[in-house]
Amino acid sequence: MPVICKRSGTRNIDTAGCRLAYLSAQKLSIGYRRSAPVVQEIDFNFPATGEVERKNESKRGAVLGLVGPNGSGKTTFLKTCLGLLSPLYGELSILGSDTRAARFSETRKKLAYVPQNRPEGQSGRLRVSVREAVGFGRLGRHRLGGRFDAADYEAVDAAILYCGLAKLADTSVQDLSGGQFQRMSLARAIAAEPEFYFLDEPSSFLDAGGAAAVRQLLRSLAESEEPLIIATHDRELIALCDALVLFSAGTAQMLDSEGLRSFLSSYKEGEL
Amino acid sequence: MRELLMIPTFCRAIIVLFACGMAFPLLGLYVLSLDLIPVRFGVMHLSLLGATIGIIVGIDPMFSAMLFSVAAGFVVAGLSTRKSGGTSGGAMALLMTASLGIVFILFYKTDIQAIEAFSLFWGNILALDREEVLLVILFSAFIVVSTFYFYRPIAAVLFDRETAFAFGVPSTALYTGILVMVCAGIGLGIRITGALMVDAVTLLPALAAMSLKKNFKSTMVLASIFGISINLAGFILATVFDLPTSPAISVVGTAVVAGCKLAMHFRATMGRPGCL
Repeated sequence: MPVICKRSGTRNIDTAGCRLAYLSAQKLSIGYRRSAPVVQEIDFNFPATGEVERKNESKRGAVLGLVGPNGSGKTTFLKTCLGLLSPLYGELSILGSDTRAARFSETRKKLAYVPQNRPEGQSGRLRVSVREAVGFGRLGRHRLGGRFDAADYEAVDAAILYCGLAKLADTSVQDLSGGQFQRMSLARAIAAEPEFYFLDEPSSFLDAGGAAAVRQLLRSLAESEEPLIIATHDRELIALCDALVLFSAGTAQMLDSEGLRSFLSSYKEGEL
Repeated sequence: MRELLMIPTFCRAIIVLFACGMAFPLLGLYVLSLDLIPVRFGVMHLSLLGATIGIIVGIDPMFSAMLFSVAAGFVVAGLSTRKSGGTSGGAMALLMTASLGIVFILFYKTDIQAIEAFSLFWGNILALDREEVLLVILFSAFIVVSTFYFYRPIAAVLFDRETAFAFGVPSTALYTGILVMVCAGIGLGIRITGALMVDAVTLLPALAAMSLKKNFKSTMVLASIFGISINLAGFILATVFDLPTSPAISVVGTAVVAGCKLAMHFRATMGRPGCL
């Protein structure tokens, strides 16, 4: 995020000074049961090996799109990246840390997640204000029960402002529209000041205005140093991506830049 | 009334009603926020199993019932894993049916009278001894202090368990802690008001506070205020009109919930354009 996030320029560098892939999957199978994997043999690096050095020169992070029909495993893949699910087989590393390793809980604190928007646009019976919900993004930075300091409040306020929610800061999330709720989810992720964003269908279930506002936010987020992974069907968001992984029929295939161009030229909204 | 306050039994009852009036509605908020309504039914049945086993092996049935309630919390938390994202409803239905089946087999195969185990479920605030009063005070203090201390991570877990986990909150540990606290509270509440009316000290004040649609922090404070008021008003009503205490508390609680809902309804109606 351009306004808030620190541009250290030293992120994701190993001890030998070489840039690591943000995400590395090797012979990875994902799903809920070993007997019935949702996707098998996922094998790619992000950025792809040849791209790593080029990205090293750039201030901009990278954007990876996950595309494919409903139920093809995009959300399952995102949840596996976040440690919500364990890989069934193979290996998955995020920011150089194996998702199955005990120390991954520390890596998870550097990640931010924007879950799929719910069609009803609200979350349970708990009435919390937008400011409070955005603050949940800062919890990983503290020990359990730790108090928020000035930096936390500053980050929360900046994220709220960035997402255009200043007038709604004290409104209960139950009273938000679908688009406003999704912007709150984005603000929560931004407030975390993460090193890696994971977004699941950020523009789904929104009206035209809501989707446009979310797309605008994601465009500026894509210009920041932090990499993004976006699972989406939205053509405008796919166009933001530097690389694409196509999920289909139990497999996942990374498209090269030629493949990405060709996919975009033939892709019609709602086709997948 | 002043003479009654000189009687230790009445003093103990007032202390207990104040303590659990402040703390137990917070458990009610957890139950409602996490949709754990079936859990309390399950815990009641598991407590019955605990009490029955306690009578058979010759230990205090209250103690064994509490032990089973706490164990229920761990079992339910384990069954409703974060990975499946499921609620505890199905898990509790399973435990409820199994425990009731075992209870009736035990009744059939041993000499104990069913009424002996069921008597635990009537509860009697005036029959609490010093140790039980101390237990209620300590447990109530634990609920209030832990809720205050872990307010933000608890709110994050109640809001969205999976996303809280993704942001680095140990949501599985917190969820388990909440469930164990709820189950232990229900086990203890059974002794205070009886199984059938344990909702009066947990859910009714929480429902009344939630119906006012305030933010979560204010709802917590309001639930505690309602809890203390309902308990003490019910107790006074029971003493003055010679009524059983738990039903009196339940009736007052129900009236408060109805009053809050009506007030909100009128507020919404009055706010509509062209109403006046």
